[in-house]
Amino acid sequence: MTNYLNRIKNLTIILAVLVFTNIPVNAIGQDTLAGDYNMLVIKTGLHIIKETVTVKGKLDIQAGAKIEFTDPGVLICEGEVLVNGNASNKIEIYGKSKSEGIGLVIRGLDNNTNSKVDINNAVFSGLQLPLFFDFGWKRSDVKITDNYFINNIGKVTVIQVLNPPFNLNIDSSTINFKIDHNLFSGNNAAIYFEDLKSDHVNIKITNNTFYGNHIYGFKNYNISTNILYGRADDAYFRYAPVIEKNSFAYNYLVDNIADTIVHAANFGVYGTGKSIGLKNNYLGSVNKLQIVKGIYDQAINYNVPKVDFEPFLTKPNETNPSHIYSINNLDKTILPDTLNSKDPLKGFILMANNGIDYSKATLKFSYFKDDSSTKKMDTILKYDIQPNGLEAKFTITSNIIGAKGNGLYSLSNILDNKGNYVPDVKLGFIAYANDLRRRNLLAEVLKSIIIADSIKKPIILTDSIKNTFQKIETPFKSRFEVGLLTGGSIFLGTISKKGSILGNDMNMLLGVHINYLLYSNLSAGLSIESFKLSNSDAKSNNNEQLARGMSFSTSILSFSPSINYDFVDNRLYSKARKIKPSIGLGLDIVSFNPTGVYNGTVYNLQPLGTGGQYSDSTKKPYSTLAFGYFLNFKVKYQINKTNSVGFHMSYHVSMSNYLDDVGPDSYPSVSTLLKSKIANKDAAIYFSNPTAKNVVGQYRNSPDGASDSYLNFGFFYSRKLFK
Amino acid sequence: MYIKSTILSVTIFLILGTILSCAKTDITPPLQFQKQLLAGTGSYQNTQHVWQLDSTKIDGTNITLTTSQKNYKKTFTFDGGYSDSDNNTGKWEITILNKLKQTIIYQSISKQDSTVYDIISINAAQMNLSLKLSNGQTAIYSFKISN
Repeated sequence: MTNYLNRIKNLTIILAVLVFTNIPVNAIGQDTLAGDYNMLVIKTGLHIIKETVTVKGKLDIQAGAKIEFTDPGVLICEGEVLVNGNASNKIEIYGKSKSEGIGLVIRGLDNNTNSKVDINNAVFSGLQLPLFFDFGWKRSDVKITDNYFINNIGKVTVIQVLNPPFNLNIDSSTINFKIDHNLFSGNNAAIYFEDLKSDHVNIKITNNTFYGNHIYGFKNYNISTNILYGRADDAYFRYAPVIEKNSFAYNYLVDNIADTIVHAANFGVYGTGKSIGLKNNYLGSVNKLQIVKGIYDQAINYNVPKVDFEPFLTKPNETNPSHIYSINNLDKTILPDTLNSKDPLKGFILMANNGIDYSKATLKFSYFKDDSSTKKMDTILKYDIQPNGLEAKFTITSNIIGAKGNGLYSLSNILDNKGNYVPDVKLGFIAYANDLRRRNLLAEVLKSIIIADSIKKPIILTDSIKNTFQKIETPFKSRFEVGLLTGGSIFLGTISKKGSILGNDMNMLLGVHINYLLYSNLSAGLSIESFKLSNSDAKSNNNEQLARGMSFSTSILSFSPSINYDFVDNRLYSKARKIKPSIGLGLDIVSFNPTGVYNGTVYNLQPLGTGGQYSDSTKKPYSTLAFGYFLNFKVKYQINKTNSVGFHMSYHVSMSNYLDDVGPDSYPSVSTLLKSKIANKDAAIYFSNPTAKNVVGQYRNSPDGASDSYLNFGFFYSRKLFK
Repeated sequence: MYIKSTILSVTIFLILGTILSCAKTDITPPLQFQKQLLAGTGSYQNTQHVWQLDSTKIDGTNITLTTSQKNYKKTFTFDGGYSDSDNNTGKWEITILNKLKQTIIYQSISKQDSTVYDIISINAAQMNLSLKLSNGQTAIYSFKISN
């Protein structure tokens, strides 16, 4: 009994597993697909694939579905593939902008002998590799019809078909591989068949439009740099590919490095076969010489098959997806694809294979703003249109002003009469791309010059203190700058006219200056200056000073280190930055010796003790060496890299009150002066109180704010001694 | 090039201007300086000097001064005016160094007379004047400033 129950239990589990594994997973609405599926149905709505999704059984993508592939998203199909949209409700399979995913990979042997690949009414765009039939794949039938492969970014292939794993001698089954009525436009890569001639894959490529694809490669035109290419070996003879009624127009090889058009690129073949048919196709021109330029065959390389392209169509069939297949001048001559549109275009005639609706079309003109830079300007042009069957005559009515170099005309938003997408038309693209390349090269050269230059002059970023004070890489001796300075000095201390700088004595100043660059905007300086300070109370507008009647004159020798902030990078020399202001702080070490004239003789005032320093035992004579500090401002004009001139101004405050000999001392009495040991008492008496006014209990100078100060200003010339 | 030469020209011009506008040291001649010691410079609150008699010597002998003599003061104004504490008025002038000529109008007797003193010494606080008296003796008057 127990065994019987166990058997029922095990059987139930097995049945349940079998049932569940065969129930397809339905993905409806927005969904992120991930992992493995035994079967997958993708219905209308947005579905996102960000990683490898494997469908081991049937994949059914239904009309209205949108599948977004984000790198490295890829959908691997190991079973039947049905991508069935309809003309009014297409399936969109696209790569996410700036993070484009891969696409669909069809691989493996499907055990179901009726398994097929049927892809129709789908739009593949922005993908790295939209369809990839991986080596060893096998399905009973492949139909890729009525699809749009537009603007896919991958540079490998748009559709890549590798060989299925047939036993060449035994297996006689066939895969019908049909690519019919698809539009391939704006793609960066080719459609590649490992074997175009095959014993097992019957390839039919018919009624397709290959328009405006740019196959990326290198400058040399070869087999693989065509929109359609593959091998044609004599080893296979059962099925030759049928490539008919297709339209190939404006397909080019583009140089990977230069990004410029190199060569027309329609069809390429290789292998041991003697020839391959490419008859009854429109090959971009009615001129045979033009046609052969876009075919890589025996005419270029005698080791490869010959392409039999005659007879060729002189225009595409109406059954091809709609496109503009020819662009003419207004006089109906061919407008060459090498059009150099330096002169404004007056108009053009477009010829399409189907009725085209231009009602929403916009004509844009892109041009460069100057002769050498990459600055672009886009402008929408107005035009008149005159339809004439499948022709349309465009007459441009806008004036183009200020265009420099080669311009590009782009006609976009074109639909056919059924409302289907029609590829954009570009005029002058080749010349425009070449001009853009030239400008990019020029920009790179300029950039490299700037980079080289910036080794000496690092780029200044002003958004942080760290960047403001950048280290200087120049040699030690090159950081030095020496200069001579001259000008005037004005005493603004005790004996001076307050409130009027120029109302005081001005004396000449001479000095030398050494500057050392510490950082990009910071420098250290040392000035040695010799000047005279003098002044008289008689110049004052203050009654007490007038009554006091003192005057003095002193020679100054100052030794002044400073630190300066340079508003402009001190390493920089450019015509735009010749004027360089700076501000700084410094210390003064000042030697001074105030003098006065008494009865025609100049006396040093310090030894006279005019403030009672020698007659009052509580006082000491002042030192003739004083410290001070100053605020400095300079404006430098850089004549060239080594020489500069400029204006300097500095306000100095002395820590001594005796630069003018008049400190905050009470007037000494005449009697004490007479009793002192001063050598010249007459002079001492006079200088202590020149006007002999009644000074009992008074101070010679107010003890408050007795500090002496002075202003130095003038001009300097400086030079870098070493480069 | 034009900018450089302009800047150079302006710089030279300004440097020269600065040099030319520098202060010059004025030295007062001894005669003028003596006048200023005696009577002031004429600047604010320095328009006159008052000298008070401090001592007197006749032929080298100190004369004891009475209280009123000790209070005797001469006032010299910078513009040449003279007055003293005896209410006499007049003029003063120094045309020759160390020679002080006083023209005095004696108030009490309404008589004008002039006297020339030798300035033995003068500084900002003290002045010694010498006068040959009519009896042949030499008087030395010492004054101290008394502004």
